[in-house]
Amino acid sequence: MSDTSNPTGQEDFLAAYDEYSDAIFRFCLVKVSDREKALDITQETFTRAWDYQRKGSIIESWKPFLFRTAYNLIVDSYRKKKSSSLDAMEEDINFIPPDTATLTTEMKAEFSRVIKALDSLDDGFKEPITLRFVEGLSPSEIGAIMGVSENVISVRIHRGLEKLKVLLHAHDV
Amino acid sequence: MNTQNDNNIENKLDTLKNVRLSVAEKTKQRAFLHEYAMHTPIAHKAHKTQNASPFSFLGSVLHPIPFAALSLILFVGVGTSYAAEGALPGNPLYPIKVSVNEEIRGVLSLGAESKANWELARAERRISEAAELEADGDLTEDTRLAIDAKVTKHTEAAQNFSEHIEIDKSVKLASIMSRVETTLAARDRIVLRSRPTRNAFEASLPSSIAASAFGEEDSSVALLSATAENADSDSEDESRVITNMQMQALPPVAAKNARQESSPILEAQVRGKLQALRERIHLAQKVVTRIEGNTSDESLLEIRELLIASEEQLRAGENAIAEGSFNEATLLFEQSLENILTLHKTISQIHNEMPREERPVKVLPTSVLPLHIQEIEFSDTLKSDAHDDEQR
Repeated sequence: MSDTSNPTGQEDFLAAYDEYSDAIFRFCLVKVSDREKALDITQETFTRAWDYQRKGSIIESWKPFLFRTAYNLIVDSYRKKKSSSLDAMEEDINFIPPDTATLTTEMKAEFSRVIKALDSLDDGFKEPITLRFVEGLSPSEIGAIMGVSENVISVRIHRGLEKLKVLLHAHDV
Repeated sequence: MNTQNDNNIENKLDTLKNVRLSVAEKTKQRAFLHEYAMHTPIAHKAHKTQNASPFSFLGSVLHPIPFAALSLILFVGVGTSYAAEGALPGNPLYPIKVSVNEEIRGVLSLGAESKANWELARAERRISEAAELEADGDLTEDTRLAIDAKVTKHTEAAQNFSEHIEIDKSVKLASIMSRVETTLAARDRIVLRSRPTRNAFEASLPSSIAASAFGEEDSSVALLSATAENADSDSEDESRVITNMQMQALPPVAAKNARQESSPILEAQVRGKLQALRERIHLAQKVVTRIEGNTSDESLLEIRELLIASEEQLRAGENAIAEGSFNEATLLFEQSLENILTLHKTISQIHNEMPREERPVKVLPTSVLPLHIQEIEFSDTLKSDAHDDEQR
């Protein structure tokens, strides 16, 4: 996408928004458990990406750049406070977007169980698992986003999955 | 067994992919970002993609190039076609950009969704061109009408293509339709903004008549009329010029359609404009501080007045947003942007009149440069001067 020719750069930018906004939003939402905050961070992520280009830098690959920016913004946001509980989030009818209206009741219940289990994980496990299995990023890409080595990410993914199994099993029981 | 469990968990995690922005949320955010990007453009010299080949997209196309398209490329010449990508209306290469490069790319777009998106991208290109021409003061009435017709044509084509999108892609269809709406709103504000919405007679009407003619709810119309009435009656021509200038800054949507006052897209666009304006004022403040010691008191006074006016309009616009008067906020932000543009032109003029060795900053002639280029020149100068100071 970065090599698309357009004199103003806006096409690339808006195309990146069309392609990655859902993924960035999803990543933010799982992390901050607050739909409004996740929306704000998503918008801020893209605004900063534009500023970065505007000031003369070049974004070669949008996906890792956007996730890295969102991750940094989330860390900043987390330092302040995690504002709402998962229960409150689930009560918010908007948390499950209209697009999931076609899901069956069973699927919605499964969806809720996974979210709860994931939310119970420590951040060190939650992020790599979300990025790996929901967004399809490689361990090296996740490592670049979180500022740790690929090996560390692989270990966290493995351990995180083990913990997740236990948590989901506990929920089942 | 373990692998099966892992797969099971991965399948469970897969359900999270259903979490996404709603169409309404996406439309609003896109409108905000589109507006922000439009008013804080990238400097051409810093933007790599300007020089990217228009045929770079071919790398991702698997099927062979149609013979006719290939013939056109060869006939026109790859180099010419490449150079045409940065052309604006009026440039001899512009027809190649629009009638050759873009047509070929359209032919190579596969499927209704891809074709609809490309048509919308073409509409957005036309709007960006209008914005660029306007920044240079080169947007003539004929060009504006031609661009308006093209934007309409491309958005209609996008809507036609979208009718063929499969039913199971309803989310993508909704996304395209919201993008059509955003594009048309941007067209109304940017391409049509220089179209006078009222003639001189209407502009001179008292506010009570103007309000009844254009709708009581539209506070921006009342604001304009009040400005005209407050002007000194002895300087009627001057007040009319002021009113007409303000009318030009007023988007037709704002003047004609009071219902949009509550539109979430309009609100998102206004907020995008606000953020862009904050950026530009911040940069202008830095430039003014930098030249303070090297500029005459009279010139400095003029520059500061422009900056103060721009800051006041920004604050008034923020208040208008707080009160939900988005049309009024749009008008105020447009005026603020105009003042910032004048400020940069004034600074450039002053410095061009000074002997070269006395110039505190290096600027290019502004008459030929759009605002964003001037800004980069200023900011580059600030950086290089700071570097020189360090060296010393």
